[in-house]
Amino acid sequence: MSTLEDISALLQKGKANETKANVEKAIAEGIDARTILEEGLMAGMNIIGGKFKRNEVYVPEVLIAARAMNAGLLPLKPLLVSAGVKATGVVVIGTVKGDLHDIGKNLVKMMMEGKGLEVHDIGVDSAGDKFVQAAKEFKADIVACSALLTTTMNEMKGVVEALKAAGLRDKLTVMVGGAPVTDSFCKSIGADLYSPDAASAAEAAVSACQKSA
Amino acid sequence: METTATRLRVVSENGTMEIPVSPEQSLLDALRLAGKGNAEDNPLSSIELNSPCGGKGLCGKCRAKVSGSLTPPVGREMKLLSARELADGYRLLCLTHVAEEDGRGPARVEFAARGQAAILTEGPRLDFVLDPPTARLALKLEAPSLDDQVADDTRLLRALAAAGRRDVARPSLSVVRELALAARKPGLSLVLSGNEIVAVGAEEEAARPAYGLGVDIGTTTLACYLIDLGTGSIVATASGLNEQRSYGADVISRIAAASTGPEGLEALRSAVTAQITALGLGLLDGVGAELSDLISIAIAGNTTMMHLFAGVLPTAIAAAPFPPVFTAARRIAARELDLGFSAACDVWLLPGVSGYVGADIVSGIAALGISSRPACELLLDIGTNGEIALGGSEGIWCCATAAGPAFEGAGIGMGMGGVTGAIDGVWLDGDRIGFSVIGGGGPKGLCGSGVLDALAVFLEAGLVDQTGRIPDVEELASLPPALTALRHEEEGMVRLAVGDGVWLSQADIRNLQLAISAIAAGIEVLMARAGKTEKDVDRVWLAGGFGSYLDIGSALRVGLVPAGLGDRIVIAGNSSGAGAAAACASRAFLAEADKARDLCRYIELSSSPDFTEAYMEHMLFPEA
Repeated sequence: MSTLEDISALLQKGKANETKANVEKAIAEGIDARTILEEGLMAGMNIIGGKFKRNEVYVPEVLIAARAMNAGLLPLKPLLVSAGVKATGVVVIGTVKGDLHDIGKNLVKMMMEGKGLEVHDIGVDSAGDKFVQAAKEFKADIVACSALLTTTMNEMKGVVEALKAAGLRDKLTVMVGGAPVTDSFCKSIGADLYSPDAASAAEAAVSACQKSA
Repeated sequence: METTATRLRVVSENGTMEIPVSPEQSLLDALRLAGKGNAEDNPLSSIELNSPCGGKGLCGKCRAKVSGSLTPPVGREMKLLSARELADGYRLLCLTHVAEEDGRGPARVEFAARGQAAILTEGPRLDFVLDPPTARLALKLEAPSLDDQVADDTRLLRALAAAGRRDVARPSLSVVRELALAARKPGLSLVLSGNEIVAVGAEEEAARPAYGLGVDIGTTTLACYLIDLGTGSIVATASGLNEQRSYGADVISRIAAASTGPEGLEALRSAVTAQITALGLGLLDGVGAELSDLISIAIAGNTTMMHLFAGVLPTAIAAAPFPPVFTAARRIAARELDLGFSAACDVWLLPGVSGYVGADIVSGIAALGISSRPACELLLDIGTNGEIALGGSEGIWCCATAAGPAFEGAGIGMGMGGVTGAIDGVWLDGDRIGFSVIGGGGPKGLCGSGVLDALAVFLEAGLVDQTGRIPDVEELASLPPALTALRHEEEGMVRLAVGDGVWLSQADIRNLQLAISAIAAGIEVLMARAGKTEKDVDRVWLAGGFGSYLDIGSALRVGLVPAGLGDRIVIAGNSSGAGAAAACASRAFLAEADKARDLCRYIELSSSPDFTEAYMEHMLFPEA
């Protein structure tokens, strides 16, 4: 197996230290950073994403794989920056006000990063104006909101309205997700995209960015 | 030498009978032999002889209450049974033999009736000063005369003062109304709560036994304990699934239902108060008591349950920062709560800590004595939410963690409650899987303890790897064929067969990883915040239904409790309910609960980065 294949395989198994060691090995072998990212780390994350979508792996495996991806990115990041590798698109992601659920949002974030998107996480318990501020600051293509409780999902409507009030609504795509969220809820609050799982969300985000590009 | 056959008395829900037993036979063997034949007229055939290890003295599951002339406990029993169980007369049937008659009477074994749903009502042994906060008092009034025309309420206070109770306040209007009749006779009976007169009644009432009702309102189950306020002992218990469950299984859906409007809140409130009234009336009836003999009720439950019981809108608890409307202990007149009990009844709400560490935990901390010892003890109450407390009389750290309903059978493909037909124990017997079923018939699914056992067995057998994955067939080549054959694929999902059509799927194992990890990470973060290591922890209490039925070995194998604490685990039973009962009977206990609450320092896990880190770490199972 080549080093890139090793990286992908180790990432899928969630072996953080070994993934990082192999990324360093690939750098030493002279493979360029972008190739390591796309054919090593992202390739592995894509396979995990596909398996996750087909229920073959579950949340723990994705979290463990994502941890390996982050470990692998450590030695790679400075090289990517200096090589001027640009992201597919920019996403601002957060869990809405009153809701402290972190994991689901993190899964989506990790899957999106695995697809080469630049993701800015504004954290949990985030009010509409926090989404607006971050969307402005990072020139976001997408604002993604997460809510895990029936009692907090209505806050998503508040995010849409805040974006409207700031005059940003038509300039970006609003994505929503979380256990109680449905497609009809998405439409009812005037958001653009609903995805049932983290892998689909990442795919939908990529195609939304490509459309608008 | 000829063995002398003797008799063993067997008491069960089917009545009492005697069977032959010889000193060479274990009680288990004697019962098995006598129960053979499965004839419908053999009352022993329906007794559940739970013996997963086959009578080898390894599993500790054939425990039963025994008495009479028997051999003393052996070392292995001491290990498998808690000191409390031994003190209560519990033994392992496979290790117990009859002994020569030695004045302790004939050998006897008792089997508890196993109802439809096995809800835990057994609590820790209570240790409190008997001094009920609400109590009856017999009082003689001086007869009025032409020279003494003073009003009845003043006459009552005068009699109280003469009896040494100068502190009692002038009676309220509702009591004065009762007094109009009661004061026409010289003797009367008072119900006093602190310096307040709750009710007056006829003199005869004072001679009747007075009762208290301790109630533990769990999100899933409700348990009531009738306590005799004269003796301080629990005389009867009753339980049922929480009637609010049709509004959703977890607190968030209950809060959402209560938040739909005044009718929503009232529907949830009346569902639980009506259930408590029904269970309480049944208990009073069972001991031949009158309605007016119930003079106090104490309630413990999670914070949402306390709000719903009191008819207080709990909406804010559902969203960060989760503020409850009230957590302090309080005393309420039953009439204010629209309970179907006599007006002479006081209702005590036990204190809670926060939106997610409620009065049930505080009650448990006080009931187990954690708040009164300068030790470091860990209390784990594992249900849909896992509440964790760590500390002692010098301070207690506590937190709540969302374990999800996996341990209660939900979110598991073949999960079910602890009812007839549920596999409640799984073990490895060479290269075969063995299991026990509640009720002894064919298995229909797995209850919480069965799920945990199955996972532990599969991990041990190598059918689940450390990351929680069921390996591919090729990777299992080195295992015995009988074990490899348990892996199969159905409906696009890899499954492991437990037996007789019952299985655990890959998705089930994932759900369990999340649940186990939430608890394990909660323990880790709490220990870190408290600055404690495993060696500092003197005792681990497992409370709640699931916590009390689970197999400790399995809990350690899957990483629910750190392996280093394995030698200090004690099953606490329903410590919340036990505390509620104690609250009815002891002012000192109420004070202890207040002290316990004041000692508690709440740690919010969902905003703690170290929790998220630990949560991911603990998704991996411990190495074998």
